[in-house]
Amino acid sequence: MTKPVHIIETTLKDGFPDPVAAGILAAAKEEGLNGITSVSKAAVFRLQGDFSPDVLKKIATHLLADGITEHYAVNSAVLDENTGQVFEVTFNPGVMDPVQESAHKALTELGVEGVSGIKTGSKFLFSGDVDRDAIDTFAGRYLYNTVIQHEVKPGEDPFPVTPAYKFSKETFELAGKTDDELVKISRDYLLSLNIEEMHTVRDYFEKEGRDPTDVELETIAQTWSEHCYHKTFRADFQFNDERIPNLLKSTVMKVTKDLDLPWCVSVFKDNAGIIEFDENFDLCFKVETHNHPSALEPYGGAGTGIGGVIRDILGTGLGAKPIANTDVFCFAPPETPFDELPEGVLHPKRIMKGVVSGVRDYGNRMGIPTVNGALCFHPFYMGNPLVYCGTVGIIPKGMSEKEAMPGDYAVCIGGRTGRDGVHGATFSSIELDDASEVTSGGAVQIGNPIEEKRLMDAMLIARDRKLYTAVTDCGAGGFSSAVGEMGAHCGAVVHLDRAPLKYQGLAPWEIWISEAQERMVFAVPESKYPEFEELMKQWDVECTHLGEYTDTGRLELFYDGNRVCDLSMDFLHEGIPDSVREAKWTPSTGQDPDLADLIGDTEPGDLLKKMLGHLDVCSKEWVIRQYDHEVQGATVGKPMVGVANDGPSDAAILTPVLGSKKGCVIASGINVRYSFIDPYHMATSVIDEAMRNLVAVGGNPHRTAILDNFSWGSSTAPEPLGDLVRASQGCYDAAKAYGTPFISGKDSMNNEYRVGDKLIRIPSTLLISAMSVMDDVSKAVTMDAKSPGNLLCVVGVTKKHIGGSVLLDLFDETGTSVPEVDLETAAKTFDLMHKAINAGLVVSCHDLSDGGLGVALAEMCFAGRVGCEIDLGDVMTDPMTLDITDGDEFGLGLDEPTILYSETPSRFLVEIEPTKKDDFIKAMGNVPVANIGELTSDDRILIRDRLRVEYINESLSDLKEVWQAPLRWE
Amino acid sequence: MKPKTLILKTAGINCDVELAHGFELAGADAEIVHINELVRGDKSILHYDIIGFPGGFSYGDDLSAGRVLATEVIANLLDDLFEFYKRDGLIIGICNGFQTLVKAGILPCLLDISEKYDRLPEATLFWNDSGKFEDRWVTLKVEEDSKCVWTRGYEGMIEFPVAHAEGKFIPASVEILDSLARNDQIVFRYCDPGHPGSCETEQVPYPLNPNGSIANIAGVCDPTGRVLGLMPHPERFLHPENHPRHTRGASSPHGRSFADADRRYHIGVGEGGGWADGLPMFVNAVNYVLDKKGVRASR
Repeated sequence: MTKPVHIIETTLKDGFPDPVAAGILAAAKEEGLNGITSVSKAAVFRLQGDFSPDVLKKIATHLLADGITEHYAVNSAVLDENTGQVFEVTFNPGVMDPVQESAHKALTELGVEGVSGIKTGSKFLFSGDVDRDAIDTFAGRYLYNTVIQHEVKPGEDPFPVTPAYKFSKETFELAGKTDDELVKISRDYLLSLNIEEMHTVRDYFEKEGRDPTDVELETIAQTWSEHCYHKTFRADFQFNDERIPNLLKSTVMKVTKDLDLPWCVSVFKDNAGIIEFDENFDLCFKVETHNHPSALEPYGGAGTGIGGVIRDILGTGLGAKPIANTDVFCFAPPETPFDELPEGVLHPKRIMKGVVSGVRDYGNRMGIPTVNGALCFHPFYMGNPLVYCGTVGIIPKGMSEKEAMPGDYAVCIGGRTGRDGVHGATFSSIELDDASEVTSGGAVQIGNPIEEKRLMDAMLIARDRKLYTAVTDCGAGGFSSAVGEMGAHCGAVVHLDRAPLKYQGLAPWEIWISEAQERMVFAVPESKYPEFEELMKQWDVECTHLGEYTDTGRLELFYDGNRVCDLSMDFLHEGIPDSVREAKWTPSTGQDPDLADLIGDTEPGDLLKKMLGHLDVCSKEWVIRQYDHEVQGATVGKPMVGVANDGPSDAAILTPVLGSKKGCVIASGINVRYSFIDPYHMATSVIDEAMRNLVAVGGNPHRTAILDNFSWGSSTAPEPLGDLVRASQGCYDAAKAYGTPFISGKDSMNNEYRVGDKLIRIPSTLLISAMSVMDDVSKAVTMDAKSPGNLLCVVGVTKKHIGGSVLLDLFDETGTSVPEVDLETAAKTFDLMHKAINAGLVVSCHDLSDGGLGVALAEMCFAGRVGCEIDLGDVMTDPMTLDITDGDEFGLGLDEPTILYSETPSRFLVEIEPTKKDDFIKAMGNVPVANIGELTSDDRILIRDRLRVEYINESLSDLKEVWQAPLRWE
Repeated sequence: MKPKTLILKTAGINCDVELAHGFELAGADAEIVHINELVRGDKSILHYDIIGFPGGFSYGDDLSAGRVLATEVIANLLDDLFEFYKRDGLIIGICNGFQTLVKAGILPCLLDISEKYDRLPEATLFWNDSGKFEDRWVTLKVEEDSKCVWTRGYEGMIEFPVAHAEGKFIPASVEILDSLARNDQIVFRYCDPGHPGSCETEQVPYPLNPNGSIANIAGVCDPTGRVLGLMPHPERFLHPENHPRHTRGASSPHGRSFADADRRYHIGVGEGGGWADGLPMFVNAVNYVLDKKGVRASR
C-alpha cells in the first residue's frame, strides 16, 4: 500500500513584501503581461506518511512556517487561487533536491516518525486578467527549466518508484564492423570516440579474444575523453608548414620545465599545481570550466562547477583545505532581444543570473570566500557561455605526494550515486545543438553543497590522522576516472553493487560513470579502515568499501559477483592512439579604422562615460556582493575597495594562516577581443594583465605561478586549432620572459552551437589565473586615490594599441593594432614596481587594462573620492607609433583618444607623495615614469589635451554613476 | 588558567575556525566540537565557560536559516544549555549562530525550558529586503546603555562585515520591541556614520541598514547581558588588515585613525597590538570568566 501524501503550503503574511514575487511581477510586465496585477509565491511541501492533523500542524508551525512572517495551510491552498492563474514547479524525478535531506533530519529531531517521502515545490499565483498561454510561455522563460524541473500536473504521483535493475551482461560486437558501423556505435552511445580510437578498441578486444562489455566501452570512452585526457592539446600539430609534437608539452608545460624553479612543489601531475607558501604550508590552485552544463542549466551547472573544482583541491596531494574561490564568466550581452535568440538557447540574462546564483549558493555554503573574478561579454557566447571556477587551497608541507598501495581498500565517501551526470565527460566533447537539452539532460546536475562541506570537514580530519594513502575526487567520469587513475599504476577491483544509490534501477555502467556530485574516493589501508569508517560516521558522512587496489595491473569490475569489466590498466591509460591535428592561422590584414571618423562629434567627456559604461568595464558589484568574500576571516585585499568600498580592486589578498602577515595574492587576466586579431598577443597580454594585477597590490612577481584555461571553439577545425597554437606559443614566450611557471591548466575544446546550418563558435578565449606570495600584507596597496596634493604618474610608455580595445568595441570595430607586450621591459617593470611598493614609495596603484588610462584614472579617483588635474601632453608616448598621416603635422604624437584609451600592456597609474617623487623615479630605473598631474580636493576629473586646453571636466559622481548603472540589477 | 570555549560545529557551519581564533587571541582555549559529540554524550556543554555558535549555513539553511539546527538544539541540548546559562555561562551567536539562537527561542529571552516547544516566537530573522545574500561592511552604533558583557568599553561606532541572506530582525510585536529597548537588550544598531544618532529614531536606509531590520537592530542580548546574538561578524575583524580601508590609514571616513583607536583599546595581542574592532569583544568574554573565577590580574 502506498501511504497518503499530505501537502503543507506556506506563504508570507500581509505586510511582509516578497522580493522574489516582486521580481517576477516586474519581469512579467517587461514581457508585456500587463494584465497581471500581482504575483504571490507559496512554498509547497509534500510529505508521504500516516500523519494526524496534530502532527501536520506541529510540522507546519515548528519547521515549515515562520511564526511571525508566514502563514500556512495543511492539505488546502494557502493562496487565494481563485484570483488568477496558478503555476506550480517541482524537480523532475531523480533530480537532487537538497532540502529533502535536511527536512528529514528536522522531522526526526521533532519526533515525527514514518516519513517515507518529502518533495518540495513552488507555487506562483498570477492575479489579474491573465492569459494562460502567456503565463506558460513566461514560466518557461523565467520560472523553471525543463532540464531539471516540470510543471506539476493534477494527479501526478510525487513519489514514483523506479523499476529495480535486473542484471544482464551486455556486450558489443566490434569485430568485423565497418567504419560506418563503428562510428554509429560511438555516436549512438555518446562515446565521443573517433574512428582511429574505435579501431584501437576493436583491435584490443580482438587480441583479448572477446567482445567488450558495455562497462568496458564506457570506461574507455570516459578515460579517453577530451575532458579527461586533453587529447587535442596533447596531439601533434601540423601548423602551416611546421610540425609541432605534443603541443601542450612543447609550450605550456615546457616553460615550467625550462624555468625549473625550486618553489614549485608539484606541477601538471595532480588535480592542482602546488607551490611553496611559508615554512609550514604550500598552496595549490586549480581552475576548471563547466561550460556545457551551465548552458543548459545555469544554476545547477555553475554550482556543480564550483563544487567540482573544490573537490579537485580536496583531492590534491593528500588533500588541501580550500581557502578561496575565483569565478570568471563570459556571456552574450544581457540585453539581447528574445527574438535574436537561436532556437534552444536560454536568454543570456537568465544564464548570467542563474550562473551567479549557482556559484553564490554553492561557494557561500562551502564557507570558501569568492575573492576574485571577471565578466566578459560578446555575442558569440550566445550558445556557449563560459563558466570558469577556480579554487585555491592550503596544504601542510609533506602532504603533496600520494600512492594507493595494493591491498588498500577502495573507499567512497559522500553523496549517493544516481543517474545524474551520466556522460558528462563525453558530452563536454560534443558541440551543442537545439536538441542537447533533450539528449543530454542526464549530464546536468544540481549540487548539494552541505554534503560536500560535511565531506570536506571530515576528510581533512582523516588526513591529519593519516588514515589513508591516497585520495582523488569523483569528477568527470565518476568512479571510472577516480578509481581508474588511483589504480593506474597497480590495478583495482571494484564491486559496483556496493555503491549506495539514490534510487534503484541503475545499470552497472551507469553506476560506474555517473558523475553524481559530492563524492571522493580514497585508498585506505585495511588496518586503518575501522577508524576511518568510524570518523565518517561521527561526521554523518556515508562511507562505503567498494573494493581493493591490487597488483594485477588490471581494472576488474563486478556486479553481484558477475565480472563486467576486465581491462589492462596500461591499455586504458596508454593505449589511446596518437593523432595529428591540422592547424591554420593567417594574420589579419587591413588597418585600424580612423578614430576621428568613428568618434565624430561625441564630446570627450561623453566618450569617457561610454567607456565606463561598457559591459566589460562597468562595476561588477551586483555580482561581487552576492558572494561571501570574507568567510574564514583571512581576506585582507577585498574585491571592492575605496572610501565607499566600491572601487574595483586589482587582485585579492588572503592571510590563510590566521595571525600571520604572510599573504597569498590571486589575480586573473582575460581579454577575448584580442584573439580576433592574434591569439599570440592575446596570450601575452592576458599573462601581462594577470601579472600587473598582482604586482599592483603588492604581490611578488618572482614568486608567481600561473594557470591556463583554454576555452576554444573546436577540436577539429583548422582555424581554431591555429589559434590554439598561436596562443600556446604566446603562453610560452611570456611565461618564460616573466619567470612565471604554469603549474596547472585545463582546456574545453568544443564550444560551438549548431542551429540548422548555422554554427555559433565562441571566440578563442584564454583565461590566465595567477597566484603569488607576499611577505607582509600590511604593505598592500589599493587602487583608490588617497590624498589631494599627491602626484599621479604613469609607469610605462603608451603606444598606439587600439586593436581589440574597448574603445573600438564601442563602435563595433576590432581594428588590427592589437597590444603587443615588450616582454623584456615588462619583466623589468614588474620587478621594479614590486620593489618600489615594498619600499613604501607608492600610495595607490591601478593597472591599466580594458579602457586604458582614461578608465583607470576615473576609477582611481571616484573610488577615492579625490579629484585630479592631468595633462595628456605629459603622458609618455612611443614616437615609433607617431602617425603622421593622421593630421599630426605638429608632431604631437598620439591623439587624445588614443592616449586615453590605448591598451598598451605593462603600464600602471600610481599615486606618489610629492616628497617621494624622486625616490620613485630612481627606484624605477630606466622604466619610464611620467608625472601627468596631481590629485585635487575638487571632486572633478580635469583632463587637458596636448595643447594644455581643457579637454574633459566631469564630476566624480557622474562618472561613478555611469560606471555603476549597467549591471546594477535588483 | 584559560577560559574554556566550545565552538559548536555541525554540517554547514563555516565560521568556526576564525571564531576559535578570536577566542584564542583573547586568551581562551577554544575547542571545535561537533554537535554529535554532545548529543551522544561524549562531551558536555557543562565543562565549558563560553559557548560560541558560529556562522555558516547549518544544514544548508534549508527550510529557513538556522531552523534545522535550532530544532536539533531544542530536542537534544536545551536542558544542558539552560543549566549552563544558570551557572553564569556566556553564549555568543554570530550570523547563523544568531539565527539559530533566535529560532530556538534562546534569544532574546531564554526563559523557562519547560515550554520549549510551545512558546510563541518573540522575534525572527527573515529574508533581507533585497531578497538576496550580500556581503558588505556596515557601521554599527554600540548602545552604550546595553547591559551586554560582551561589549563593555565599546563606545560610538564600530565596523564589521555582514554576509547573509536572512538577517532582517523582526520582533513579534511592538510590545516586544519596546521591552527589548526598555531592558537595554539592544546591543548594536546599523547606523549612518554621517548621522549616528538617527538609528534610534528612524529607519536607516539600505545599504547602511543592509537587510531592513526593524529599528535597525543588528544584535541583541538576553536580559542578563551574557547571551549575545548579532548578524555582523566580529570574528572577521581581528587584525587591522581585515578592514577594507586599511590601506587608507587615517583617512577613513569616520576620521578615526587606527593608531588613535589603538591607544583606547590596546590589548597587546598580535604583532605589535594593532586595532581591530572585533577583538575586544572576545577579550571582554575572557575577562568576564577570569573575573568570575577571581583569577584575573589587574591590567
